[in-house]
Amino acid sequence: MNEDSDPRPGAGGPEEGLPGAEPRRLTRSQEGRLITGVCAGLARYTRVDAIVFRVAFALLTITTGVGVFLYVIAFLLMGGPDGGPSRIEKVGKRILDGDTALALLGAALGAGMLMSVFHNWTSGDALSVAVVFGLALLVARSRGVDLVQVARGLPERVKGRPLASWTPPPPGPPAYPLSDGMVDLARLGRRTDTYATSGPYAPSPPPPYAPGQAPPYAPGQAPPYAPGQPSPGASNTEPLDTDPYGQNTTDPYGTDPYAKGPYAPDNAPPYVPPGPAPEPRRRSYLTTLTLLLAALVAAALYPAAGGRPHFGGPQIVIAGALAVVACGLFLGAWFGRDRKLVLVGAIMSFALAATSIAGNASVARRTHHMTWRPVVTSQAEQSHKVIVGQGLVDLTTVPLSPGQRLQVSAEVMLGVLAVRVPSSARVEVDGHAYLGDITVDRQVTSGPGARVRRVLEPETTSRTPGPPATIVLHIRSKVGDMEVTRVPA
Amino acid sequence: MFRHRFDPSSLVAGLLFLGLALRYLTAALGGDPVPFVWATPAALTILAVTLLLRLAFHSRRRERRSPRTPVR
Repeated sequence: MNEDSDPRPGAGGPEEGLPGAEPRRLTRSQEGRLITGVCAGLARYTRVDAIVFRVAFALLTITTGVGVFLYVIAFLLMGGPDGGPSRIEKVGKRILDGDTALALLGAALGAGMLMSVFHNWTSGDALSVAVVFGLALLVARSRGVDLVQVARGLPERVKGRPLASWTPPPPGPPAYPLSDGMVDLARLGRRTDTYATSGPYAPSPPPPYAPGQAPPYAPGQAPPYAPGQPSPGASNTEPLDTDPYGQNTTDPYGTDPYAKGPYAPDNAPPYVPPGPAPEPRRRSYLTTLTLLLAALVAAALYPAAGGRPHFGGPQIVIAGALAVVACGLFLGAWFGRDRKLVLVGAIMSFALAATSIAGNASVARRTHHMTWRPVVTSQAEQSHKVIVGQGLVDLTTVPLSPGQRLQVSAEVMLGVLAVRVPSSARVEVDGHAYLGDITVDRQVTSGPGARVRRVLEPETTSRTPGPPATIVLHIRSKVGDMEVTRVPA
Repeated sequence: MFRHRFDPSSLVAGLLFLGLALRYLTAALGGDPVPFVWATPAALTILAVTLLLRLAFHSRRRERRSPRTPVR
């Protein structure tokens, strides 16, 4: 039931097809991989170009998202690049052959198609999944797969073999030639004597015959042919299609497009002894210079960044440095190595996005909005902390007696903090913001690392005689603005 | 003059980062905050595109560098 794969027993190695030999397995491939080697492994197993699988996964991801689901399943089903068992095989302690794994993947694609169709059968997205599934079935059928037999035998094959009975492959080069990129599908399609007359489906090995004689075979029988000569059924094919591996003169299993490629034994590249070790690459100073210049630009922009609301100041500093990093990447495209610059640029981009979120009041209110209006001093002296969002501490509702000293602390990690104090009280403000502005009675102190220690004398006299009450206010901010305003009592 | 192989992923990443930086610079210097509605998706998209291109071109480079073992 070799779905999408070459049905030659020898396709998985010279020993495959022999009694007791390990069946061919579907594994991820380290060679030519982009992400995890799933598509490269599928390409190597099915001998279809990896770009076909990549396009299919991308199409299924963009249209319905089924591609992500399928990719994860494929990753879990396929063995490691070293031939080790897959995640699912480790969990189930059973080993699956490659055909079963591929059939399971096809079943998952079918299930995804059904889900898409049931979700919205009139949409073009569902149609695209159905088209991909149909094409997969057509390719499998064109390669001689009996789809009905595959479906019937799948429950039995899924049981697999015990993992303990599996022998890991020996380390070393692969036993069969890798496709390594583009495969001529048209040439594969021209094979005329592969399935019907040879291989495991042929009734018996054909006897040789002399060239020039009439072939002594009846219709329906395997066409006999002489060793090393093209079979009658393959007379219109290219000469290289006459010998499966370029070394088997009996040609029992048809043709193979790799017989006379760069991997054919006769055409194998000569062994080239390793030369002297290459010279170490010269050190690239591009990243260092770019980061230094970015720091200088950020420092130059710092004075212009002060006193801007909504994190405008930090945004100017970070964006200026990011522009320098971008210029460094331009240069790195031609002249140097710039791996670190991409990471730095990514961090700066995230920081800019974070300031946009944190500086937006509506977002802060939606995520976390806290208001404290203490009515007794014990409530006022408890901790007021905002993790993300906006916090308001209203101290105008606290009854203050003359000469009383009230300790209040408030903190915001990411967001905005506002504190309202009565104008009849004396306020000692101690504020510190790592990244953000501190506004105390309309006077702004900008960050990063802003520090404010200020005493606000009472603007109005209290109704009760005596010295004014004192509020000792400690406010702290990691990323966010803080504001202290006085409100007439 | 060109000692290093041209890397389009660096060029694209530089362009995207520069666009983001200029957008923030013009907005912040003009006094208008950058709307977070598009800022976060834009940053995430830039990072995803950059990462994909990096993976693609580095994978190709690794493939070219790897010596081919003759199969016998």
